[in-house]
Amino acid sequence: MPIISGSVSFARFQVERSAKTRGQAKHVSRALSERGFEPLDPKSEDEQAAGFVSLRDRDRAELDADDISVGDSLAFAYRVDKLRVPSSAVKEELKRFARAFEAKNHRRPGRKEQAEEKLLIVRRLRGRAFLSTKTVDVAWNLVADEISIWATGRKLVEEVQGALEETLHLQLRAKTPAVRAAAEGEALGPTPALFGPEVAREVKRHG
Amino acid sequence: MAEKELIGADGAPVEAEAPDPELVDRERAVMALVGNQTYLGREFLSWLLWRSNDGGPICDVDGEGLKVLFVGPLSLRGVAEEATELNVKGHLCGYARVTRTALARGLLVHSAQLRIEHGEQHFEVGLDASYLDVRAAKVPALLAKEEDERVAERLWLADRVASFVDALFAAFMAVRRSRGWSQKTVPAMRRWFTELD
Repeated sequence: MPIISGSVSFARFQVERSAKTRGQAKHVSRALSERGFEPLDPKSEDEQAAGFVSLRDRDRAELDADDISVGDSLAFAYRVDKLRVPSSAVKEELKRFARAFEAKNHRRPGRKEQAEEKLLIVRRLRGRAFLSTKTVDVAWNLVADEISIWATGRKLVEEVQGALEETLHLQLRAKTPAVRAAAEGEALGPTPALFGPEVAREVKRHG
Repeated sequence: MAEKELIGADGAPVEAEAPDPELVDRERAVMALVGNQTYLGREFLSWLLWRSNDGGPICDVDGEGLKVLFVGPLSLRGVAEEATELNVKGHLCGYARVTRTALARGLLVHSAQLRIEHGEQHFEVGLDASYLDVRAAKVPALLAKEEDERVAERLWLADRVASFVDALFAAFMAVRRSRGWSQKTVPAMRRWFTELD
């Protein structure tokens, strides 16, 4: 739970509001609750469930303004549960399949045949799957109008970014050097004396 | 989609030549500079390293000077002949001659761990040139006792670190877009890169 304790690492985004964006705690908590986390149904075929939860209680998806208000900010979390079949079990079954296939067809199974069989194996072994849970904290500083997503893996950050944009009707711009320079109206190329003139030329050409 | 078969002049299939690994590496290194204008992030971190060497404040925040020291491991990237990356470890390795030599050859700072001093408070933060996200930051010990207040205080300190990064980047941009950048600052940086101890 990084906001509450542990390593302080987060990706930063500038909020770009649309006509539909509501930044007040009661509206945000309502929107988050509508996209609240629902646990995986063991009877369904789904392998992943994702949604918003309380910062302090990862099992609570019904949020109100008090749940998410922290000083000048709003803070909550995004939870992703995935069913994972142990990869060693899948590998073992795949080897068994490959041996049987070769014995019958006098050739090894192709990539497509292996991929199709892997899907069937994963479905068959669902009963042995374990649940992996990840939660990512999110904070919206309403004064700076900046959102921080407290994760380091880019794929997960982008997943949460997408969920926030859709749920809260806003655009998030990562505060990269490019975005920061563009905000100042600057179009700066690389400095040849630092990168080497040839590299600087190539970068300019691609950029 | 099946790859097109190459046919030679004699009608026989020809094996496509494997691409030169050095060229592949170089192309990859150049493209890494383009995405997110990472080159600007590397210029920022390298400028900050040079500025931090004299020990004085880089800029002011809330009327108090912001000092920076590069501590811990550093990653330098770019294109320097056959080398595209150099990782250096050691407490103040940013200031070591091996690091400065790499900088002189076009391998600029891609990621680093910084100690930031603002008045009585000390912070540490990891930065990378592509995103300038806050990584593995260390903030001062919390003063609040109640959990709700501790969460608010931690968030406030995290925002504080982020605002310091913004202030440092703004200080860099003020120099970067000035005429003095190529005429004064970059030559001074290069003199420091090539300085003998």
